[in-house]
Amino acid sequence: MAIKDYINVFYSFGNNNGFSINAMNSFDISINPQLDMTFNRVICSLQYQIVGKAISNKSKISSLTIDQNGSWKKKNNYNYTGKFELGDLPPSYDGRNLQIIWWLYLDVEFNEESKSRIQNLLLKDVFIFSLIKSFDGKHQNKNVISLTNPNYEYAINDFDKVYKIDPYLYFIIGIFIMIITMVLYFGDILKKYFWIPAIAGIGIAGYGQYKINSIGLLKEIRFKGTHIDNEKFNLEIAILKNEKKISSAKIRYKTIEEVIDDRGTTSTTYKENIYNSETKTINHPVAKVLSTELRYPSRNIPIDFSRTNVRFYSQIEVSFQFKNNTSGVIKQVFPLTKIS
Amino acid sequence: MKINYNDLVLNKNIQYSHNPFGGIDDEELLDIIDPKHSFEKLIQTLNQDSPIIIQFVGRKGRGKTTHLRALHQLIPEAEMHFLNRSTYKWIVDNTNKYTFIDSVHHISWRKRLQLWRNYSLSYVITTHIPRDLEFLFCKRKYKTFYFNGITPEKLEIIIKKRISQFSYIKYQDILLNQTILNQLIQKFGDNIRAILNFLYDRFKIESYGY
Repeated sequence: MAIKDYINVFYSFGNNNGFSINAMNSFDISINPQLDMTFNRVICSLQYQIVGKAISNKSKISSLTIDQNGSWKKKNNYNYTGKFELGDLPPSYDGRNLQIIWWLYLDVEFNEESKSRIQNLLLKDVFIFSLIKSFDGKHQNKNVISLTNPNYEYAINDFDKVYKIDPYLYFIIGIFIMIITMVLYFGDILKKYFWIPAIAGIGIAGYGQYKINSIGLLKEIRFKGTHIDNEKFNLEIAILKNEKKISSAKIRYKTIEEVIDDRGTTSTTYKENIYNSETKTINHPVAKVLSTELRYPSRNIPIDFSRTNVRFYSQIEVSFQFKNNTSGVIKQVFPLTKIS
Repeated sequence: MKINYNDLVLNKNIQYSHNPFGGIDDEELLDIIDPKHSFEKLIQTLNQDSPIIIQFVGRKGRGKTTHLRALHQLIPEAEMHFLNRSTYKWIVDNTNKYTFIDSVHHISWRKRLQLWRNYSLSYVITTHIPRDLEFLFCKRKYKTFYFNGITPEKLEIIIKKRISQFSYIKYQDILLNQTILNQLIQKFGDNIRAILNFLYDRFKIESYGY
């Protein structure tokens, strides 16, 4: 038996679904003890937990003493009511590599008499941690609640960004590898396996050549975003060079959930698309300045939320198809935010 | 062969608070961990009369950091360092009796020797390869605890503890498919982190559809 087996706790909420942001939220707790207990304090607290593939941490938001210096009789019911007013906080979220979970905690701090009586009961059930971390006179019970944000709006901070394309890097690296390979080959240093770096160099230079003839044609693109209303924003894309070589362009944005697992030696970044906007297609002839309206996300995403190793961000993706049968994609992060 | 979470856990309709195979915070750690090495023994080793270095040796994902964090819960007065290269200066300033260092290989060997030469301090470190030569060179007393190997029984305990901690089912009521446990070990070996990451994804897909 553990201490939790001696206390049954039942929760109910004013709003069936749990709590809401920017509102007064009430709750009821019913406690059904299985032993006579006396306590110094009974505290309710509200915490949220960020839990994902690699992380878990909790933040306490608010707490409330619901009873103190009292006692409970075995098998009786004790009912308590409390209220929390919640401001602008991250709502419950269930993502691919990340969850935001809200907990209502009940902490009971027993007085000395109950503490030693419960300790004696628990001693029957000694296992390794009991020897080290014995019952400390406290009991904690917790219950998941749903925190919703029914009144939210998206917005963008107006932005004006220039995306510069440097297509020559891969081509230069490929040529450099080929030159070094030739030097080693003709210098009789690398004879048998010279074809391995040679093929790698040709491959990298070939990819570089493709980039020069595709996305590299554009040199520079300017993105300008303007908030229109709570439904949509305007995106202006200025193609500063060679717009006549484009046969079509597809414009959309994505919202990405990113979690970094940096436990131990290596670091792994998990990225998941959690929202794809509609795609706007612009066919030939493509104007020098493309202006399009995009709708804000159709569902609630904690877009502003970020913690160590966790963030959400949105990026515009423009896929170009060129007349020379090549294609390329440009990605630009932009400041999508949420207002409650 | 495809491994499914719903085939692994034979109980149906378990009500979970959240995905049980994610990260664990410090508060939950001691309830979750199934110690590979007894914490009593580790604490006894550390509390010897003369300072000692304890090294946890093993490849990534075998539980070294988890044990270090759990030990820190039991000895909270110890100073804990999760290392990257820039945090070294914090360690040299340290005067704490116990110093815990995760991923000690982020420090260059010369700087490590400086640490080991602080003879008044006891260290608990995690590392991929044994640092015996360094300890011998600095004439330090040390003890090594290896983190490798896993049995189906051990994996069963780890998974059951996770499920019972983050759901409303009791540990003793959880039933796991032994064949699937063996398949997990065949696929991932003793890389517990890889097994838990795999189960995290499977749980997500099978419980929520994505």
